[in-house]
Amino acid sequence: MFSGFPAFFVLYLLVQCPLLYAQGSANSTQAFLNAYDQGNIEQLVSQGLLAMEAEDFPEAERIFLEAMQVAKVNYGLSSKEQRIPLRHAIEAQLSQGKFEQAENHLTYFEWLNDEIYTRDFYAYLEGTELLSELLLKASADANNPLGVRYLIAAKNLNWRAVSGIEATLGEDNIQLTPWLYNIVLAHYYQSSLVKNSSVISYVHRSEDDEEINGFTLTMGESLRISYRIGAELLNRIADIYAATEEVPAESLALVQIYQADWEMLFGNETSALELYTDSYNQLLANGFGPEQANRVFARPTVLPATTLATSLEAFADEDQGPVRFHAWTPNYPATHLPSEEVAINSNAGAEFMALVKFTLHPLLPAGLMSNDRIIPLGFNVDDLEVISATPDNDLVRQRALYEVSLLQFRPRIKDGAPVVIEDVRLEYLFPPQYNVLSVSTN
Amino acid sequence: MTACLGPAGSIHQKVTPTDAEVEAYNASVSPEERIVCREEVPVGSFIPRRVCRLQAHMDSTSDEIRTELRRVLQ
Repeated sequence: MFSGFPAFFVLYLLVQCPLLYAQGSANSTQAFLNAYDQGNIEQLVSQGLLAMEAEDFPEAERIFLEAMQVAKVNYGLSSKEQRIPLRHAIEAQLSQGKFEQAENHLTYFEWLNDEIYTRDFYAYLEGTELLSELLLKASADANNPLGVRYLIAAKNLNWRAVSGIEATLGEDNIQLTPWLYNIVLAHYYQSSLVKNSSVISYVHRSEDDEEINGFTLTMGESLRISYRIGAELLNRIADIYAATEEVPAESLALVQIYQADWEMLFGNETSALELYTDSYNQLLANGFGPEQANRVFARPTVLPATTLATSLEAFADEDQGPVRFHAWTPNYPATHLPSEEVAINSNAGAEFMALVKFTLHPLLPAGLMSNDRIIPLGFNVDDLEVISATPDNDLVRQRALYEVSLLQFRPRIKDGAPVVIEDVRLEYLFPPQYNVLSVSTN
Repeated sequence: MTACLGPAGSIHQKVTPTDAEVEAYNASVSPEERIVCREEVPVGSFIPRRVCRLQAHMDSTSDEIRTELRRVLQ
């Protein structure tokens, strides 16, 4: 035995091999433990985001789900650290059209966030914001069959955040206002859905997945409810600003502009103009000069504004080039993309755009009927003309004219009176998933 | 129309929740507990009245009426 090998070499091997094995084994254990290292979550999320950029959505989903497992191992099964990878995993699933998997993960996100509520209220609010964005994103996808349900779910989530803030911080707390405004916006999105179909159905689902039929509202009834809720919430926002001392002096006057916007969106133009001019006068009464007050209305704004601006600093000067309108989704016509977080990850149709010019009137042109009844005619956008289109063809130009004519603008108030704005330039970016050929203009 | 005379002679206004209050409530309860408020015109009157009902109750009533109607029409 061991003939041909020097005896001392055999002895060396016998002693050294178990040591080498033990070292190798320790390395692999270390590697195994490293896979679940806390720092790995950030690395994995970065890798996943790179995969998302490269549009390798299945790989991105795999990486984000792995990061989620790492977060569970390190921080616990109901840890808030899971939310970032979970959010991206859902985005990757939505990008692949895996709506069922996305639905399961959205339900999990909601459960997780409810668990966090009892431990850390502010972390719960952050999670609610994330989840609300994900639900809106899911609702915006034209291919998602559950779009309406996600919109209602996002709205309900915002309501629960409102209830949480009321219970924790008080019913007049200023932190309520962005959540209340989100609900107002959700009602606008809902009303744009309703305008596209004659009825809206609310179908509820119970805990055991058994569907319970909800109720169906006619278009008029649903629009009236949305209008009333929006108006009530905007009044509440105004009351909160009126009761809060540490806010800019102009806040209340500026909130009134959003109340006017709401009236404008629901066709109550006369009351809207009264509120706009009243808001202008309030700004003057608060010590601002006409130049500052005029600046609020200087740049044409497509309604509804996506954020609630309550400081004059948020209002830009007039000369900033064309107004840029990034349409969100074909599901909600004439609606500006609220934020990049809710944009659909799809390049289909995204390359379509048009530069248009028009004259903006503060009121709709009105006609007098034989019975002395005044009826609004057409739109408050006039002399609409396409300057350029990409790709430049008649179909895109026609679609651009139609889509821009659906937009509603905040009228310009100058020196306390509504005025016409001529030669307004607007860059219209068609929404992703917009099919130029199949959209009905009737 | 919704005012009534209370036991102490004071007038109590019968107040139904606003649409926003209903929506806030419905967002926090299970589907079976949700309520629906709408304007209804009662038989024998032209004046609409705002009525609030439990969603589950409306569903079961609708089911009962549907079943009864089917039985009568057969």
